[in-house]
Amino acid sequence: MTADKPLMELSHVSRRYGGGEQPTLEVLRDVSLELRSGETLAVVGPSGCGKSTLLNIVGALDRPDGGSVCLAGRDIASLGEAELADVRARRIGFVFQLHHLLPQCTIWENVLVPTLAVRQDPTELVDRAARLLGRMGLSTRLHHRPAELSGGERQRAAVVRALINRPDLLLADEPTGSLDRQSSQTLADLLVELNREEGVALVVVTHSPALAARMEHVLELRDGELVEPE
Amino acid sequence: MMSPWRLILRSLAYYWRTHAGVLLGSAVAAAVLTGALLVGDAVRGSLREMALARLGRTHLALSAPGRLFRAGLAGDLTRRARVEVVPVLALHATAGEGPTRANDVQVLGVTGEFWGLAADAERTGREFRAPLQGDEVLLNDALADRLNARPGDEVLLRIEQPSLLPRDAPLSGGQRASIGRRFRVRGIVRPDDLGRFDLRATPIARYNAFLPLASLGDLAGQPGKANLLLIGADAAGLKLDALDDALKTVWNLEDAGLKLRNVPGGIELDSQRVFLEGPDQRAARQAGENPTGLLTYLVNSIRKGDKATPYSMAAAVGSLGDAVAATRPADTRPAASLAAALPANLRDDEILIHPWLAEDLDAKAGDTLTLTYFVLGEGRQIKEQSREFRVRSVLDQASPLLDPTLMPEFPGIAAAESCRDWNVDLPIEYSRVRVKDEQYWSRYRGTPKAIVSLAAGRDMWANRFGDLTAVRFAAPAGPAALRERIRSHLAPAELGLAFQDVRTPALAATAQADFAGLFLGFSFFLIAAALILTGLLFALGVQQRSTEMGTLLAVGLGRSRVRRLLLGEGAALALAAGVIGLAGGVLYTWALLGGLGTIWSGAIGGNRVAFHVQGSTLGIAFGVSVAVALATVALVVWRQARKSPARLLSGDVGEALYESPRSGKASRHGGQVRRRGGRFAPALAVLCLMAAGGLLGALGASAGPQRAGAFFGAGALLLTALICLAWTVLGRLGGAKDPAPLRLGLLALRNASRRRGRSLAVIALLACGTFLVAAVGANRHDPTAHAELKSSGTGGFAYYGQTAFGVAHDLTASGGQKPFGLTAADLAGAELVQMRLREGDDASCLTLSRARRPRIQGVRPEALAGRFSFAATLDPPPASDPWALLNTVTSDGAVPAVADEATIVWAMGKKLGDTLEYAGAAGGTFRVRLVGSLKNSILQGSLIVSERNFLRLFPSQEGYRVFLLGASERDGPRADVDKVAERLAFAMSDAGLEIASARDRLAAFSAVENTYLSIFLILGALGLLLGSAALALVVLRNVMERRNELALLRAVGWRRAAIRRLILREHAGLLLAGLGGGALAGVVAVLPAALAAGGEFPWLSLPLTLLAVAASGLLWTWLAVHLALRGPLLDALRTE
Repeated sequence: MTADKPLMELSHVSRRYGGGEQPTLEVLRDVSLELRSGETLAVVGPSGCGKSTLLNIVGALDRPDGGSVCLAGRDIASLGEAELADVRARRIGFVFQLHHLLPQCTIWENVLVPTLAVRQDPTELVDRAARLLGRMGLSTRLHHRPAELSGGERQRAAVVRALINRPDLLLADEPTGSLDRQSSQTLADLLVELNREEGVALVVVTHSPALAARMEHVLELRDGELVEPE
Repeated sequence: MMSPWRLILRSLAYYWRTHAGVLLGSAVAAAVLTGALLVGDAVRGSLREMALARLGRTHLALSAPGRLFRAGLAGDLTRRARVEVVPVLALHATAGEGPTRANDVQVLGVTGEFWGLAADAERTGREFRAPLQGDEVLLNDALADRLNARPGDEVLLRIEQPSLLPRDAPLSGGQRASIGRRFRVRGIVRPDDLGRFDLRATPIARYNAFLPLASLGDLAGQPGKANLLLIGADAAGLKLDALDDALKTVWNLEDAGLKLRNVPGGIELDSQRVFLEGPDQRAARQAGENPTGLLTYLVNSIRKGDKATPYSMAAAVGSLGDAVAATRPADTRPAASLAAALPANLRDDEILIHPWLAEDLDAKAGDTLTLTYFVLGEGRQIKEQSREFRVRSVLDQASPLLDPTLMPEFPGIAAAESCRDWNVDLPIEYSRVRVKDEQYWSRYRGTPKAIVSLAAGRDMWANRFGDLTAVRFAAPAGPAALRERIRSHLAPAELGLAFQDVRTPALAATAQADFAGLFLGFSFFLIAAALILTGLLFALGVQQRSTEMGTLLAVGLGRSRVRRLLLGEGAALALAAGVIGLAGGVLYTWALLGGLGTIWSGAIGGNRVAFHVQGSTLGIAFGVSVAVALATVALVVWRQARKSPARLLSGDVGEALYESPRSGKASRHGGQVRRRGGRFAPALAVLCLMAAGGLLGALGASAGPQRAGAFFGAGALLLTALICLAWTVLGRLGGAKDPAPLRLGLLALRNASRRRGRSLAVIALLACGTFLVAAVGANRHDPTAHAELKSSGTGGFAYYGQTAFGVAHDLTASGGQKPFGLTAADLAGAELVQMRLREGDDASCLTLSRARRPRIQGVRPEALAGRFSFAATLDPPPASDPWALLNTVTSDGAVPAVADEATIVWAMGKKLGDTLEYAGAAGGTFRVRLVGSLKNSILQGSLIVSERNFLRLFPSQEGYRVFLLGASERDGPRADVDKVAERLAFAMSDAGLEIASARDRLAAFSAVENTYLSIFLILGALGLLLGSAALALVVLRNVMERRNELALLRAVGWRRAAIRRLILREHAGLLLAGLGGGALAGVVAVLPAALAAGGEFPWLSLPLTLLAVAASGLLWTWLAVHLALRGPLLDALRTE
């Protein structure tokens, strides 16, 4: 990691499930992490180890039980509901294992859904959407519905949706998990290229060693702790 | 560009299948709600039409029952007030003969101006202004239909002979109450031509016959008279005070029923009613002519020792000056020669006698004479009384006191040729009349044979009609001045001659008919069921899109933004549903009105309700429908969107899918919070159970509606407790258990608890529906059950009769049957209770509009002792009998009245303790206080007061009109009441007696309530059907969501039939829990009704209904399971 001020900083984060009469399961234990702008990080680990939980906490989709999560110097764990939404809208982009594109909308509309949360110059927005979709090879699929696209195309559209609001941090949860090898490779290439082109920091949670290998840093989540992979 | 609207539209289009269900559910709710409101419009509109049909353009009316004035008064008033005043002579009549005979016909003597009061005055005028020939009559459509008469046919009308002296007044003379005559029907008067003219609000069109005013007056023996003045809508701006002032200016003594005549020594004021009323007397005294009061009466005998003179006139004479002496000029000695002839100090026990009498009895000054005379007691019982007098002197033959004009014009006496021709309606023994008595009559006519002081006379002969028969004046200024002075001291309003606005209250009463509220109540469950279904469908749709919500949240849309987007979809659906609901509501209204016109006609007592719709109602219906649907959707959206984005993205769609009820959702920092309802539901259940117990403990043993209310309340609380319990149990079932063998039943229970919101919605829907069906169903009652009991709604009477004309006689008194050609033997073994009747609004539940001035019936309370059942009384009833409440004297002078509970609550919108204000017969107003309510009875529609109070309030109201007939419970043989009724109907046909079975009357009233209950039950059953449809949806949705799990079961070796059994068992549990819980609570709620006499607990129909709903629910469930499990289940695993 560089010596610059970190974009994202997790400090002693913990997260438990259960409680009361149920046995407690500690998914994250004293997790600390820093990530600077433009850096890429892969988090690997076995199923159920808490990778997605970590990503949700980083992405302000979930809250830690302990510790702090700072994004661009703000502790997002202390933010209210509306402020968290604003953080997600302006600073974070998400790519899920399942694309989660809205089936009722076209690809063009889907990538513009996040813009509903952020007021922007329409002309610039249209240019950016068109450029990103072209960059992803989806220029001919703008008015297709997700159901009319291949898995790889849907996932690429999801990447455009994640980048449309110029986030500082792109979080990808098993982005290639439901893709075939070719599509996985294409997507991995695109993610890395976009990281460079857009200057966006990238955190990928993955089982795929190939994808992990494309990242600058790789950490393994083991027994609730982030460690260097063996 | 992307916009929220675009997203909403896309979603609406994409999820149209899901939304179609939501739309349908909301549209059903909107249609039912709209329909209920439109039924209100229809009833109001129809009532308004009916009110306008009976009033035409009539705005003001002066109606003076029991009085007659000059028809020319209308013309005088027209000129004075510059508004057209229409005179009418309205009399009672019967029409036709045989089975089609119509009683209670109103025959209207009208002039051409009357038709100008029709809505389309010009058209109606053209049609009916042509004068009728002497034997022609116009009938309204209702009467023509009843008589099956067409133009050219001949009909018999028997018309009342109005008498200014009520026929039950002493010496009123005979029973010539009606005169029959045949007429040829000239035409039929339609409703819009004022054919249904009626000042009273009645549920059914009145039978009307129209004759020329002059002809009817001649026929009725009252030429040139009218008893009704009408003013059309042109008078809307006219002030009543101004009109009354104008009336006071133009009326004269004749209009007040008074006349002045020259008599020896002065001028006499007497009344066409024979007895001068209070206002007449006061005006006479204030006229300042030093008047002398006279009270002349027929005495049965004047006896001295063993000598007696039969049937003589006796007069009481005295000055009236005392009371107002201070206001008069100096001369206070009675100036009339009559008074001058009285000894100055005639004592009240002294008598002056005619020389003829002195000779007949061999009496002289100082002798004691006994006067025997009849007085009328309560219930027109004739009692003979006597009083002794000492002869003060024998009058000189030339004494002014021996004046034949002292006898007023008693109708049955004045014109008689001989004593034997007297027709005084008293038990006179004509055999006692001697030749010398006839000679006296022939020579001296009504010259009194005895004179007593006015005080003594009043003491003996005063009655409710008055205590003077004439007032004499010296009248030095002449009759014209005297006439004007009397007139100036008499106000028309004091005699009940005052205009009233009849239009505004009539139209207001139609507006008060809250049928919209009633049908909203009836449709409540259906609306609730449709809304629950709407909510369920929308929730299912939203749950299906949980990842979408998660995505929107994840990409930075705020929670409220996401809610607004979903709400936007819901709003669009609600708006569309509102529009569809309006159309559906119109159809629903047509269906309801169709029902009310046919199978449910009992609910509106035969009234015709036509479709009416107001734009404002549609607007309200639309607004409320949309708001209600939107609120339902908002609730769902609010619940769904409060989940965390991570949970939504993980596809967690249900409230308990991935967590046990004991686990919690994440707190702000990941801590655990208890699930809502975790402790609240059981606590509420316990609270409800305790409240139910407390309610039953406190009021369960009370009587009447309190007890019923307590049980209903307890039932409702039990229902709430059971629903809370179901929520809790569903939660417990989902919790972790110690390791135990897994059984199919346990698995089914676990599954049922997974979506406990859905499961609870189904249970609650079915339970509420069942509760209502059970609770309402048990309130149906068979009115004829135990109708023979005195405590029943018939009061133990077998027949209820009503005459068109007042019957002056007490048929139960000795000789009272004679005028009808009956004997005491004809009524032997039967019990007859007679009631007086003051016409007014029909306040039975057959009337749809609000009754403002209900009819009043007067009865001797002791005649009803032990009969009927009181629902409640204002004060604790006297130990003797609740009916004795009618005899109580209130501190504020209000007259105590008892009425049927339905009359009080529904027809009048009142409660016990409330008072109603009536116009008094002699001006002013009086108040009637409701002190008791009767359970469903044949007395519905009227206020019952004591006969004593009735006569005090309406002294001029003539005779009895309501007759209750039953078998006597006294010792002796019981009468065949049917035969007695038959005899009475025949004998009293000229009085227009219409006698009907008391059971039938009660059944007709009960039909209203029972029909309403039927409507409620049918709409409730529709709600239950929707409930079972909701169950099917839940099954379908649950199974579809769990298809992969079921596939897994299949993969591990479960047979398809076992899977089906599992799902059926899990949903049958919900069905049975709903039905069982609702039925249990319902049974508790209706225990009093079930155990009450006449109660008709649906022992058969309720279980059958529940079985039908259970069967329907199981069928839906089976179908849903069948549909969901179609096709190869294992594919679900492969597509996982």
